[in-house]
Amino acid sequence: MQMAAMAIEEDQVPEIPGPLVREHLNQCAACRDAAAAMSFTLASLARQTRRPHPADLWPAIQRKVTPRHAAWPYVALAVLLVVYKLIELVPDREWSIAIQIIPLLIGFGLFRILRQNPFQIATELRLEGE
Amino acid sequence: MEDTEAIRRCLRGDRTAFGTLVLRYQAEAVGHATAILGNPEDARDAVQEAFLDAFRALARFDLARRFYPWFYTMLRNRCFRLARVRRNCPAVDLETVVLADAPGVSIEETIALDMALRQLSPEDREIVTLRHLDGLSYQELAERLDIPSGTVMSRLFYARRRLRDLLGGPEEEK
Repeated sequence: MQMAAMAIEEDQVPEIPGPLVREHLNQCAACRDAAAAMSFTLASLARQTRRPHPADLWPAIQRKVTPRHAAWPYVALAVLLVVYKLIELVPDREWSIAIQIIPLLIGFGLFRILRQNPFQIATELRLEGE
Repeated sequence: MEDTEAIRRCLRGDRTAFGTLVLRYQAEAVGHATAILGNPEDARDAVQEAFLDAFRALARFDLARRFYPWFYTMLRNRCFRLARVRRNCPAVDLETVVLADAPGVSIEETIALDMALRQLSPEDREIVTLRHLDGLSYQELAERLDIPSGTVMSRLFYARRRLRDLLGGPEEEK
């Protein structure tokens, strides 16, 4: 009965028809008192607001979601590129296919280091270290 | 940046875009987690873990939905998992945790209500605060808590009755 009274007070559809609930409240002092006490509690809650709790969680989360790359692969690739360009400068070279494969190796190395295809949308995100 | 744009960018590899979501929702999330856990320190831990859960699951997010209600499911899972561990260690500090000082309300009333809220179970505290501090409708509560509307009404009723009893209300019939 009290649940039905609460539903009426909050403009919800009660399980017991409204007129029956009101009639019962008119006759039952215990339910009437309980409903009044509940209304008092709800009125008290209605004046309250949530206490704000400052938080700065992004630095800690960022460390876990942003991949950290070691510097040495980039240095190695840079050295490889420089060496390649130097070799290209050597006149009358006849290394044919061996020298042409180096750019492909560099490209493959980049993909391995980045560990992701930049042209593909990720279907699963992993945290650093997982 | 809109939520959906941040998520798209994140899925394309710009993981710092996830920061937009964290910065936008962290305060609200800590408030909600504090209401469940009754403790802001635990709440921050739960929120951080929930954001990491959301990050892992981001590829499964339906961009037609709103981010926060989706995230909230993960947040409450984290909170209730932590609450089970902390259940026997209730907070006892005397300052308010869930409620702010409100104009026109005496500090004694706020403290009494805050302490009563913190004596409720995490489940009761969650539904009462979502209803009365955030003003969620019954329908929104049903969606947020993933329960039928009828269950919202009964859970809310019993939670409020326990709160009223904690505040010194009269005993009554079941």
